[in-house]
Amino acid sequence: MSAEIAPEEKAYINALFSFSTLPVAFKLSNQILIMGAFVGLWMSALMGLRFVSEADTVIGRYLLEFFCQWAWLIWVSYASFRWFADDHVCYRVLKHEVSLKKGWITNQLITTPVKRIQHIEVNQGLIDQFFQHGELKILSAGHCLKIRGLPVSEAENIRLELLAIINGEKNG
Amino acid sequence: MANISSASELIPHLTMGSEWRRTGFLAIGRHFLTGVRVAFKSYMEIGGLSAIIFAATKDIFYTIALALTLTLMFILCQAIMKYWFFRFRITDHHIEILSGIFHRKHLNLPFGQIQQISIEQPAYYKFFGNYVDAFLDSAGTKKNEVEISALPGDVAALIRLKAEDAKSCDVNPIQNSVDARSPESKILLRQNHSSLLLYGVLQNKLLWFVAILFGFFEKIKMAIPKLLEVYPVEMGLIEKKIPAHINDEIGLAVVLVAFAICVFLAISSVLAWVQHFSFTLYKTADGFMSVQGLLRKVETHAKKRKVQWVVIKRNSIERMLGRQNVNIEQFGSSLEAPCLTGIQCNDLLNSVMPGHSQLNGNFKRVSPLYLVKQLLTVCLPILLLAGAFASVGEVTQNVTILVYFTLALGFGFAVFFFLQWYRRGFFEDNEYFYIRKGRLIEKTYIIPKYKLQAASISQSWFMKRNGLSTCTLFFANGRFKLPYIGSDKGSSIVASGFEAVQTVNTSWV
Repeated sequence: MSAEIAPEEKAYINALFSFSTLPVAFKLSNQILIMGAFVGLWMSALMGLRFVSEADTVIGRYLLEFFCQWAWLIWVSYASFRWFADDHVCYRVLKHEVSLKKGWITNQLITTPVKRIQHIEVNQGLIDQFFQHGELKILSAGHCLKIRGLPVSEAENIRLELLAIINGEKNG
Repeated sequence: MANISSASELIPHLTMGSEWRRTGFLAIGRHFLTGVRVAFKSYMEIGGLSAIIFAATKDIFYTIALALTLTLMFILCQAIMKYWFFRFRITDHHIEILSGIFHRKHLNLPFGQIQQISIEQPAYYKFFGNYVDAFLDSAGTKKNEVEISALPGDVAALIRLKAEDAKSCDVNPIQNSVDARSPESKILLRQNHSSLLLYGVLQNKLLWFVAILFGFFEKIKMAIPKLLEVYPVEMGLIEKKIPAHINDEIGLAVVLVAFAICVFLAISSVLAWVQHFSFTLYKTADGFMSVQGLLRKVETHAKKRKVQWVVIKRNSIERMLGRQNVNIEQFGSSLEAPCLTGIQCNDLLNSVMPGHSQLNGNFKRVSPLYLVKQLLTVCLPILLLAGAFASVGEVTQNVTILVYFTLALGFGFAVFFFLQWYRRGFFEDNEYFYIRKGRLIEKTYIIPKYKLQAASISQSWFMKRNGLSTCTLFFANGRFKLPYIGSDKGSSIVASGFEAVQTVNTSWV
């Protein structure tokens, strides 16, 4: 967003992260795994309960056909899309702003000034805890900037750096 | 910073920043009671559990007992785990919270960002010592950011002190509210009864439509039965069972319903006048205040520093009569000035947003490709659907009606999108963004640039080819999308907004 970067900010960028070098670490996100588990669960339930073979209704046959033939395809397509799309997600932390760039078909650049940050969260779901990555949420009034798939250590570092910047600004 | 150090001296052992602390044991009781309340509101889950138990045991009393026991045990386990996995610590500048069992959350809330602190003490807490529940709210989300149960009272006092100290270090501290009738306040505008009555009438557009129809009610009453004879609605059994003379009664029913709507709308117009009776707007030392109402006097305050934007609303009839309604929207509420003339509106804007530019003729429209995109994505499929209906099988009465209905729907959407594109406009000057939008009601927003909270620029491959982008500006009260504007223009809008955020040394709230 800044056309010219001040010398102290260049050092800051080198010390932290830049747009071109570091996409988010973990691309296979919670959503894909959970969706896959959901599809697998339904398929197992339908087969295991012998719903279709005993009822043998039109709806039952349709459901079986859908879940066995198409649900896995939808899941694979979605997972593949997310795999490639998440490769284009990257972020930048500067002295005055935090930016997130994402999108594959439609590129999107979201920026939050540090002065407008209300609070910062680092969230980890169950699968996130297993793989040691998490989601960094930077909240301002009216907007929430989410950086998913970060290693926890990275997320904590960014959190501390942002807090240091906020406190540094308050102290003048 | 003298105040913060005095808070540290007051309770020094609580400000050791490196120690994580748990809340009191009472938090288990609080979580348990909350869990019980939530669980029994969620009757679907308990009903499902009960159904499974009943299917196994076939005994209703055993089912209820077992379902209740299992639910309460689950809630108790959940409450204990919530207590065990909740920790907090207080540093010089912020409060940190670690919480969550399967979904872990690590939250940092700077004291300066706390907008509101609520401290409550349920009755049963008193038997166990000085414990309270603290709710901390910032502007980040609509609900409380932090809810701490069974917090020691002195810790809650420390948090409150630190939050107040952090606010007092602001460059422009909040001034005390001044009574509207004090010598510092002056009357900005006062609305007369005729304007308020006009406002009540103009707000009910349906009243106008029905009132115009009044002149033709007799003809409508006679025309509906004839229409039903020429175009009978093929409803199978219903058509065969309804006697012929009922068509006359349908016409009468339409007239009576329209008359009832008319009466209702007339009453609501009078009620609107009563609500805004004797509307007076005062300018106080730190903001604005409105006083209005006949049966119930209502005072609404708007602190100047909390004002997020001003919106000028008018429909087509109000535009013809040279009237507009101005809303002063602050973070959390708004103040409405109804049915203002052009001069009143200008005077009000000069007070609320001094130095704003003239609005007429400055707005730039977004690219016509935006309209084309919406027509292609919505209206074209509807048109194709109408064509599909027309080309399928035998042309019956119903098919003809369906085709005409689909075409009318497509045409309606096209008009809707055209109005949306036509109205949408924006421009900026050194201090403010000016955004216009709306379809039937035109809304013009005047927003100080330094109130910007975040911004987003997005670009699809189609936009990239045509040098366009979509710019979204986020403010505390909402967001504005500027679709299909020039890429350079979008970047410059965002850059100028962020520059104002950095350079203007005034708090946004």
